[in-house]
Amino acid sequence: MTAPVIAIRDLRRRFRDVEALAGVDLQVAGPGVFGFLGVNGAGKTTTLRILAGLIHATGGEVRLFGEPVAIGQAEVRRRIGYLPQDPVFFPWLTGEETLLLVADLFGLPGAIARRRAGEWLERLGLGHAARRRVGGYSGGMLQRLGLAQALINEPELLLLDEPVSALDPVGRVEILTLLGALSSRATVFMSSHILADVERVCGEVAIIDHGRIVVRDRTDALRERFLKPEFELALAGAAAPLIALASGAPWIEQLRVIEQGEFGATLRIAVTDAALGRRELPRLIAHSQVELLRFDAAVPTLEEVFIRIVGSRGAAAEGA
Amino acid sequence: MSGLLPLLRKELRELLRTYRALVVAVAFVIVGLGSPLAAKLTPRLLSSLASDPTGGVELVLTREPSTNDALFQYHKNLALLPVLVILLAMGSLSSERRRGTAQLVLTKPISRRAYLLAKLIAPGALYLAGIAVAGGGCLLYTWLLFGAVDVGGFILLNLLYLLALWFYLAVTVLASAALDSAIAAGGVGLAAFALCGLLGSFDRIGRYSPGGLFNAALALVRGTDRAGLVPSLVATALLIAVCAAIADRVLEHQEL
Repeated sequence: MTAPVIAIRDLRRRFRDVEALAGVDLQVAGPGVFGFLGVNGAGKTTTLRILAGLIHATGGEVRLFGEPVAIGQAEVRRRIGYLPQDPVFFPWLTGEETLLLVADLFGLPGAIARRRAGEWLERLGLGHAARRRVGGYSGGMLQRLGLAQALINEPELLLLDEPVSALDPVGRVEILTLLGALSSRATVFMSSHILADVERVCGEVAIIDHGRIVVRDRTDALRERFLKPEFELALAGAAAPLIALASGAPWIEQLRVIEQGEFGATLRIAVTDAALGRRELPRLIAHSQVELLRFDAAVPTLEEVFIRIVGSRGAAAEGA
Repeated sequence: MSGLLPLLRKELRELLRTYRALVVAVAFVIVGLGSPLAAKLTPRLLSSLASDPTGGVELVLTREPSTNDALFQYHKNLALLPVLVILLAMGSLSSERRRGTAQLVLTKPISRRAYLLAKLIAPGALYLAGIAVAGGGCLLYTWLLFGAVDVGGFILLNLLYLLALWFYLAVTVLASAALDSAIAAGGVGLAAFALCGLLGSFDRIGRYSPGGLFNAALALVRGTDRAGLVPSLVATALLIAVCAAIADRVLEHQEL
């Protein structure tokens, strides 16, 4: 049996009196793009820094490709690309020289290193700045260069800490599309608090809060799990026949008329169970003989899911 | 030890791009060429300045400057170069750690020992070249201005200086590995410089310290007792190895 790409068991890290990680358990099989979500200070960067072998854990165990991770351990790094939250480079090197240096550190032969450096600089929109010293790069350019250096060794695992935080919206879409394209051959483990980005590209997510994983699931399954048992209907004519029928249905908790106009109405119907609503509401509509224009299940965004999970935990903690 | 060669290439390129190599070259050239020139010209300059054309005061030189004066001047000037070594080495590890560039390098498949060795070997090689340039220049100018020089003794003299420079490099790199502040690391290097100078003034302890190297070098220049040469040479070489070993241990498990 193949070992998971990332295996974290009861991972703990304490900084003086602050418990940054309080027992993280997580396995990522890969390949694919895995989103690691959390508010600022939740423990995302600490986890990534331990995975990258930059800091120690104070407890627990981390394995990458089945090998234990520790500071100073060099071999497993051949298979990894790492992008820190704020990538920093030698200001006296050009962008191209930076990638050639990193390729040299990975032991890539000169011809391959030059080819890959050129390719990644072009793909990441830095071709025009390849011969410019990195000291003059903008924040977005540094993040792109950071991603290029993380990809130069064609890693099996990419550890990315907020990889698009310094990019403009167009740049974000470009990079996320690139990460999506990598998902078939590599495992991308990216932290973010920009949930729309994660939703766009991540097949699986874990949410970390106060140093613990509180939810881990496929992105679509998570949305399904937190689906509100609520539906929205747009009708072409009067809503009265449907409202009359709905009043006798025990599985309907609430019916609100959102809009009522000359040519139709919009209703919001809350039900006791989403699956029951999906099954019974169409029957009810057909039976009432109203003219249906639109029937939507209220699908939550990842942001709504996140706020519900983290927000409810925060409220519980405040109440305790 | 994985990654030593690429790291050495990086360090040497950094020395060139950040003009440190140029600073070192200029300093060593000035010391090498300037010492015999100063030995030759300073007495004449003083004499001409002190002479009173009205016949009141005249400085009379009792002897002409010699090869030994040129070498003594060279010795005095070289004795200050550890300060340059300390200033250039004090941020070698601490600054990279603080700025975050150490992360860029140490998240790649290279060993921390290679990282440390590159920080020692690249500037060490630069000082070797610097001593070669300074020594060559001094030898040439001394020969031109004063006549024959004992080449074997002169080479030995320069090897002692080189070892002393490597010692201050190793001490400062160790401090830079252990401390987060480059200024603090420089302070440790300068403190070591002052302490070794002080120890060197005590004959018994001095001959077992890097400070004794300069005494041994001075003895070579003067052609006097060379008894302190071997103990101070061995002690300094051992201290360099100890500093490197401690820095290696410090870096081995250091968080970035």
